[in-house]
Amino acid sequence: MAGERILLVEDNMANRRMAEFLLKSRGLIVIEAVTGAEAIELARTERPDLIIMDLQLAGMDGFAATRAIKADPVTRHIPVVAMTAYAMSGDRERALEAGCDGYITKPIDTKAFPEIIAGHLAASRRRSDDKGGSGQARAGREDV
Amino acid sequence: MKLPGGLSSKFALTVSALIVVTSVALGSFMINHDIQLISRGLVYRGASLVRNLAYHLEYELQFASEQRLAELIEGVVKQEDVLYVIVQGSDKRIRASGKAAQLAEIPPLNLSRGAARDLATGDKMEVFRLRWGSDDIYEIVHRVTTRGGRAREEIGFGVGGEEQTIGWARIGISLAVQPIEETISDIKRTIAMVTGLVIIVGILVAVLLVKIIVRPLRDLAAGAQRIEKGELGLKVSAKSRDEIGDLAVSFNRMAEALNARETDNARLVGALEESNRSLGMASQHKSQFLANMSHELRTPLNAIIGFSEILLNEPESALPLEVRQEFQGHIHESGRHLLRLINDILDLSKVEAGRMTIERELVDVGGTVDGVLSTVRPLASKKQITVTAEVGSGIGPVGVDPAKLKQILYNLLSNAIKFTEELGQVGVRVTRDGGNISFVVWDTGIGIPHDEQARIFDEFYQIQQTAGKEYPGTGLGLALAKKFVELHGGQISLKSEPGSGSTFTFTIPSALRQQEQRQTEAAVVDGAGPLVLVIEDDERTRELLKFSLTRGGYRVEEARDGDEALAKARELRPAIITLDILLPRRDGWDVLRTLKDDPVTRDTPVVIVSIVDEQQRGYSLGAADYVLKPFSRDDLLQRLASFGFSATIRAQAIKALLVVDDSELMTSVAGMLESAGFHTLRAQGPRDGLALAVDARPDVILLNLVMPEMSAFEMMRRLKANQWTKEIPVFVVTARSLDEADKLALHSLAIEVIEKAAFSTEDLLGEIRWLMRLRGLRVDLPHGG
Repeated sequence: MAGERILLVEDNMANRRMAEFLLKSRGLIVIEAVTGAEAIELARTERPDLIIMDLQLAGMDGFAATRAIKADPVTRHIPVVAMTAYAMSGDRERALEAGCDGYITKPIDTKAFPEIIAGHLAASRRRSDDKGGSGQARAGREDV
Repeated sequence: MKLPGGLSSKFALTVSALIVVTSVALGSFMINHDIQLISRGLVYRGASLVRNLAYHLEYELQFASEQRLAELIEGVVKQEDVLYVIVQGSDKRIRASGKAAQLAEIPPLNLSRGAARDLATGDKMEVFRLRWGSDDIYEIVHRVTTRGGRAREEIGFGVGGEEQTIGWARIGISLAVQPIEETISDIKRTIAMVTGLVIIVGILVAVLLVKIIVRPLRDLAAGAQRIEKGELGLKVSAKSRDEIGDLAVSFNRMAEALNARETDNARLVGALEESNRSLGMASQHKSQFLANMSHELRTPLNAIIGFSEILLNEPESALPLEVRQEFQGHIHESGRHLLRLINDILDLSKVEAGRMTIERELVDVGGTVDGVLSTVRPLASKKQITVTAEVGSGIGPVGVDPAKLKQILYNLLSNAIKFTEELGQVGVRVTRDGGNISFVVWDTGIGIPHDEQARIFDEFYQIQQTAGKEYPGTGLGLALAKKFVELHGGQISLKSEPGSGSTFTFTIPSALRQQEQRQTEAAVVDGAGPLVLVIEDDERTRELLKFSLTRGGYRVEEARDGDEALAKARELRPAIITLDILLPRRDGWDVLRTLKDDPVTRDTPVVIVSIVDEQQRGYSLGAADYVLKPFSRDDLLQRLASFGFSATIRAQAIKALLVVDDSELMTSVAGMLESAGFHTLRAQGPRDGLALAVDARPDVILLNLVMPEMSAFEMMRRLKANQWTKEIPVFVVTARSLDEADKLALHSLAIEVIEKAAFSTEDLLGEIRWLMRLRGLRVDLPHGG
């Protein structure tokens, strides 16, 4: 797992920095977004391999941003992993309902975190291989 | 039985029937009675006729001829109501008879006759009644007798001494005789007419009665029906002054009571629904608050735990020093953020639980604004934001909780700076608006979208962020500010236009309650400041603390160890406690824990003054502030002042103007005054001094005599001549001894002289305080001279 591009959506500077550090130290490329709107825009233009989405963003929250990303044919195949400090019952269900593929609660386990992301990346790769997804991804890119 | 038309027709019919029956009965009784009277009259007449006839017949039956008898009978029959006359002999055989023309035949003797007993009869006379054809006939029979005794001698002849029956005379008389019949039918007609009239009048009266009685009843019934349908505001007319009127009044009262009860019920139901709704909302609000709080606590915890894990796990060689330091900085910053958050949450929950109290005292608003501005200026200068303050003249001391006011202003100002771009402007404006003091905090920042303005005071609400910008905060600042303003009985509002800034305005009623005012004034006059309990085992530090605090206007009590401290804290109830950590036997942590566990001392702010640097531990145990040794006196006093106890704040209200040309003297006097909490204005020469005195209206002026430009005497004369400055007390501080002439001149201007060689800090402050007090009294008693 190296070289894959991760879109990190997180409005807290320290937490963004930490996730960035953890991802980069595994050789991943990190693109950062602070708001939901920024996340939707970057998902379309950058086509990351995975999106890590903080659900609590001021203004448009992560749920809405995820729904928008999953509604857009260009970006819907990108796995979205929710990373949230919402840890009350029902929050996970809401996240999955919004279209998230995974759910990590804060405070994160710094050792487990990169493993979980790697697992999602591998699963996503397997899915796109099954469907000849690399072709799909290319075709998608030509749409832009 | 139900009659159509209801009660009124029932009533009318019944009354009419009653009247008809009564009238008819009365009429027929009267007719019968009249007929009887007529009959009786007829019978009497007949009786007198028959008696007369019988009298004559005594002779005629014995002696006269048939001819004579017939003449006699004919004479009687001629009477118009006599139908027939029969004369019988002693053998009861008819001797003669005669009849009226209208009678066809004389009824035979064998026809049955009923005795009319009700009619008077004598011993010789009987009355019978008989029907003959169409006639109703009274037959009066009189026995004809011979007269005996004396009567016989009177007439001169007689048959014998004894009375003997010699025959019977019968006269039949009839009611059917023409005139009588007419009379009777006249009577019948009259009676029928009268009866008819009575019936008509009776029915009319009945109908009228029905109207009078039944109409209001009907109205009542209609009213009841409408009330049944829900028209509760209804009133029926209650004009009649009788039982029905009473009934209508009662009815109206009942309707009113029903209406009132209905309104009450509706209100109760409304209130119940409302309270239900608000309970539901409160519960929803509470869980939302909990969810938000959990989120807000986890966010900095995530950074703290994550970064510390990285620092613990990564080998030292893998992390360059700058990265390590950066991560440590994140941990520290997140920790501080967490602390702010917890403090804010605690404050909020205190407000929500109603346990947050407002300690009002007279506060110099200008000083408070200055204090807050000095705290937020570093934030502003980082972004090159200009911060301005306008505090209107004539605001005067305001009765507020100074700590709360500071926090409100701090929250609003730091918010304004946070959301204002570089080179922008932020300002605070204070004006008096009647009994309210109005504070306006404005900025030229990014503004707040209209659809978010209603929610901006909600807990944990943060406005939508623009790309690339971060506005870290707890999301509780405005919520707290709003609560604090409301605790003061004030209101906070917002005007904002996205892109062109926001203006928060809050008002606070300026008046102190009378009792509070008296207490505050008393405190000033007595010079007795708030009590500070100093807990410190080291004697030198204790003395230093005591000295600093006394200068700051506090009263000081000391405790040398934990046990003594706890006892004095309970007994003396100090306003503030300063606590050393390294104490013999029972250490400061233990003392702090015990203080915070004791309901008596729990709310007393504890400031840790120690060489031990464990601030987090101190705050988590409930310390209000943490001062590291060695401490500066100013820093300590400033921190204590932030708890809002009055001594320092009031001292700050005293503005001293220093007009001193000797810079060394200036520094020493200014330092001395400032450390005692005075606000100092400095002027290098007399011209500046005069200008400042007029502009700033200081509470006291200190000057020295040796000055260029203008003689000090000249300056003082001008001060005393100016209406704005003539009341300001002036102290002369001089290094040289004054001669008697100088002293006299100064005293004539009512100026105090303090010779430099003689003055000490205590003296100077004592003199100034004494003078201020004097001035205060003079203000209270304008005619006292």
